[in-house]
Amino acid sequence: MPGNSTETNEAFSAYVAARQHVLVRTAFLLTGDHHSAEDLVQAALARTYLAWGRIRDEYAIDAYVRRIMINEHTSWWRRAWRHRERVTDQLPEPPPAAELDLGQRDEVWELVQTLPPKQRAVVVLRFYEDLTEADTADALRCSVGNVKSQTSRALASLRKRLAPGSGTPGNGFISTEGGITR
Amino acid sequence: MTSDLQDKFTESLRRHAEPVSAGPGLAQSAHRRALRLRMRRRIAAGAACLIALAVAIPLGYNLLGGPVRTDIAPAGTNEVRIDVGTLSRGPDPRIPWFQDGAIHDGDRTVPIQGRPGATYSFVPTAGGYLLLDEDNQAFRWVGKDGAVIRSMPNEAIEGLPVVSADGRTLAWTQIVGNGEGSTLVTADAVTGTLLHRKPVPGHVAVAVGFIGDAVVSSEEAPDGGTTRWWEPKTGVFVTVDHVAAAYGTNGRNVLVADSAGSPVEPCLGVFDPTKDSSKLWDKCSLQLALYASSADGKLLAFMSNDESPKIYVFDARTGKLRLTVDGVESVHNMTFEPGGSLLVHGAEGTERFLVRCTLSGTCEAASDPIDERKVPAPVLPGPNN
Repeated sequence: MPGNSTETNEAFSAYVAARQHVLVRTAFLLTGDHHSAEDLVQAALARTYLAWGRIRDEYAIDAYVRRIMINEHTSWWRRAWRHRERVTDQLPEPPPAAELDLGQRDEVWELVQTLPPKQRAVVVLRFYEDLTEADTADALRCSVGNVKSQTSRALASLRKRLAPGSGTPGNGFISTEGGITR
Repeated sequence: MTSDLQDKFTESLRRHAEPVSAGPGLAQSAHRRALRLRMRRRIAAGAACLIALAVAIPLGYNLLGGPVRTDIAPAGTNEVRIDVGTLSRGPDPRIPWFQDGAIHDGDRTVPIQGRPGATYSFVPTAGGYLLLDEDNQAFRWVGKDGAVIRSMPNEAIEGLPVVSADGRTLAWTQIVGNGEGSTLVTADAVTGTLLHRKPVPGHVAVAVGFIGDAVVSSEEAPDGGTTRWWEPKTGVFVTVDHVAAAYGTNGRNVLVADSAGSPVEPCLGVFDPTKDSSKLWDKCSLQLALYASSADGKLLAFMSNDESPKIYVFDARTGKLRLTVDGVESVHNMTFEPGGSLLVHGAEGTERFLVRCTLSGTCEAASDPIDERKVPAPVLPGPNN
């Protein structure tokens, strides 16, 4: 990796230019809105820039940024949760639906937006980024077994949501760290 | 069935991600944010390292009244432009600086063991110096005689530790995992003995300075950030009102931070955290790049984050502008000397040297020119970058 600041700036700028759209898309899936996604990417890139010299393998930058994004997003979520906890003593409401008008309702996406951050990250990494369970575990700093269990819960939630007669999506769903409960 | 469900996730996620793209200014914004974050870290360490050098500077204060909004350059302020070609050679720095493998501190030359040509970041303490090795792998407590008192691996410590005003206590932030949380730590600045620890789960709380015995920490966040006040002896750990993320302190009664409430257009403010965090004055128009506090805490120097940066020296409590320095070519760090003069790095081509500017508006060279392609430039206290 480059050593002096000029080389670092150039390499960093080139990296951002090349990967910004990919990163914002992943961040959008994690956060659910465009503004937060850009903010999250900025925050992650800022920390990546500071660690640039320590990232030995340039091919590991994506993984590094992704990991910071997930941690940062989890931190934001916890902060919002704690704030609400103090004020209302209630669990957080599911975030608002995405701003995009896709012309039709997407129950899967609605479910994704109710998932707690870690489970949502597992879903994004496994089913969008197409990471292996091991790579997902590495990104989340957790065990493969934990990835399996989070995946299983997300799939179970989706199965329940899509089952006939499951009721109106969103009604009665409360987000918990363990999954979706009714 | 499971495979079908997985496919539904994949299809939905791709469908929603595909139309998303980065805004036109993301690369620039990310870069600015990175620089801002780095500067904040540099500022924190750079400011704190000066506080250990306690020298009184008699100045009059206007302690009455609320926040004062100061103009950048009111009439009557001393303004000086560094013209590197015409500087006379003044005395060497009156504060410790590193060059040629040694810390030069008044009449003392303290040799530092290590690779020839290596440079170090360091902060002065009551017992000597705290050094960060050039590869950032270890900290060394070094006595004024050069003896290594203690070494400590740099295990995910954020930046350089900050030093209390009396030079006897250090504080730093140790990152937990990959940023899942952090731990604030205090240690004896002379012996290196660890004193107190404060886990901060879920947040990276960076120690930015002391106010008396209390440690001030700052967290970056999209809402502008949070500043917290930790009293290690009592365990008090509370959020500081009215401020967002902080840059540093003067060690005594002044906190430099962004005002809370405007994360989009942060307003640089100076607060008194010992009096309900009341704002003393602000400088909303200034984008801060570097910050320094005089050893007695009475002067603050702000370097603007412009393509042609300027340095502004203010009275810490009143915001009265005392000096403007223009023509700063390359500032890696800046430091006050006893008496209130400011040391900065000057550059002309590949030659680097230290420049001293006084409050009366005169500048002179404080070191001989060094061709940085051949010899490492002199290093002022604070981060070496």
